[in-house]
Amino acid sequence: MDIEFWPSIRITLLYALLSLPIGVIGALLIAMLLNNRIRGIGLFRTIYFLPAVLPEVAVALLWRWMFNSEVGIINYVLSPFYKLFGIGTPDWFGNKDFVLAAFIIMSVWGIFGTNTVVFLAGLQGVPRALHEAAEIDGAGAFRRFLHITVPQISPVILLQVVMGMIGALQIFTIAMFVRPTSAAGKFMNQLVYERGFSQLDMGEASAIAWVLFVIILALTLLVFRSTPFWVHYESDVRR
Amino acid sequence: MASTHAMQRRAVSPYRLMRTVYRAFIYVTVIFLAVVILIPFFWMLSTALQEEGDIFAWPPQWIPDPPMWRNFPDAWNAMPFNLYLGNTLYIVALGIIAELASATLVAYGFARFRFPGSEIVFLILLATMMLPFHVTLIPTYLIWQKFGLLGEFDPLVLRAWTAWGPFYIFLLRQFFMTLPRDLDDAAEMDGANWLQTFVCVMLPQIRPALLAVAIFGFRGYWNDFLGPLIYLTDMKKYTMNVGMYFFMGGVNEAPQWNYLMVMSTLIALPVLVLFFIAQRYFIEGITFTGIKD
Repeated sequence: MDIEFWPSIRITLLYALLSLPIGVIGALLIAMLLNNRIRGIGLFRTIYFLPAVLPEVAVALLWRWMFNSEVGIINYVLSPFYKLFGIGTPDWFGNKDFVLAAFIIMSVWGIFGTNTVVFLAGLQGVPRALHEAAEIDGAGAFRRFLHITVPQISPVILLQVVMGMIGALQIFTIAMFVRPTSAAGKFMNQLVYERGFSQLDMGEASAIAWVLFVIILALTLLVFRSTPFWVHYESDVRR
Repeated sequence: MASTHAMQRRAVSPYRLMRTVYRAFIYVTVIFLAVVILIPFFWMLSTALQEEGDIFAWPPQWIPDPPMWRNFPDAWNAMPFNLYLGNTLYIVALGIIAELASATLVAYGFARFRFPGSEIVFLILLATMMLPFHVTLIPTYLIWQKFGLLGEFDPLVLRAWTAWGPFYIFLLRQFFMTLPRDLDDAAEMDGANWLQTFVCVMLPQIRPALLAVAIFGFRGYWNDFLGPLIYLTDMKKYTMNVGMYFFMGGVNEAPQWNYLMVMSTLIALPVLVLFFIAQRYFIEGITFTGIKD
């Protein structure tokens, strides 16, 4: 039995569980923010797209550089807080507790960009007439969001949930280039890569890959089974 | 008359006050988040402009003194990046065309045509994303080897014709499915066949989504690292990203951080400009489904 197997399942699932809701809800809220007609919106949208324009490798390198425990900018910025709470300067990628926090921080930064743009495109498809009609009927902003916006873009939400789940469970490139130390634990995909390509044990690598595949497939099926209850397809409506 | 008018204006209605507060809230949030996003980029640019010796200075230098603008031409000329730019553009152009043409067709099929097992086929499509990509890496490589196309641009471009981007298909399918059937029926009534319905009625309706796919497609091919690294063996055929990889240094060498950041900045720039131009269509895209209930 591979002693790194269960810890890797644990950290992978935990990462997905924490980053997915933050990603989907956060991206939707940001997209709604960017759907406002305010001055300089084009510039703001472009800034918000920034995290998506860098190659994943460059993003990973940038984070590794910023999280550097000795000369990293993050520890520099946070050092007053460390002093205040009397904690030592953390070695972000060397410590089991900090490594998950670091990956969540990186994922939060990453939700600007792609996810936001997809939601923005989705919000464009919500017919304005629906909002106007509801407003005349006296529905407040929150109720309109809940009963018009959410059902109308529910196909897009489904897309984001499924893709976000697959992406989070498959986390690899960023983890590989950030190079957390082994004490911090490894994501499943890293384990697959290490066993297969560093230790040349293709058999075990494939076995772990299958476990990961089955986990993702099961969760995806579960999400798809739930769609009749919350996803509204305009094309299914018979008039 | 004029004075009463001015007085009316001065009286602030609670509705108007709420609107102002709401707008102020939006501005503050948008600006705050923009600053958070920009910090890493500022740091990237700052590192790009530093001398090698200053990079590890403590406390870190936010603004390099003096800024080493020379780093930009130096990094660009350290590798044949002119050539690599041409290679990258070639792959990007052919890739996007293939991606858009194949993904829209397949997505439309999944959204509109019910055939036996269509749901299972769709799930299989999604399942291709669920395997770790390095598991399929070697089999795919061997397939291209059988075709005798290793070292060519073909594996990078041809694979796009197989609608290999499940994400784009899924995305476009979801957008097609937000369109009411009445549109199809109306087009059919006017004597349009399925292809005319698809091109003239359906595609224009999902323009924001097509734009998003085009941007992501550009970014995907422009930023692709693993594909070119594996399939291109001739140094003359390398892309920008692979070229940048040389600044990473060898196993026991420290990366050339400043050159890495220079190239990261330069590689990010075109995608950013493209997005800035394209994003205005997200504003104008108040869609009309053309249907009155």
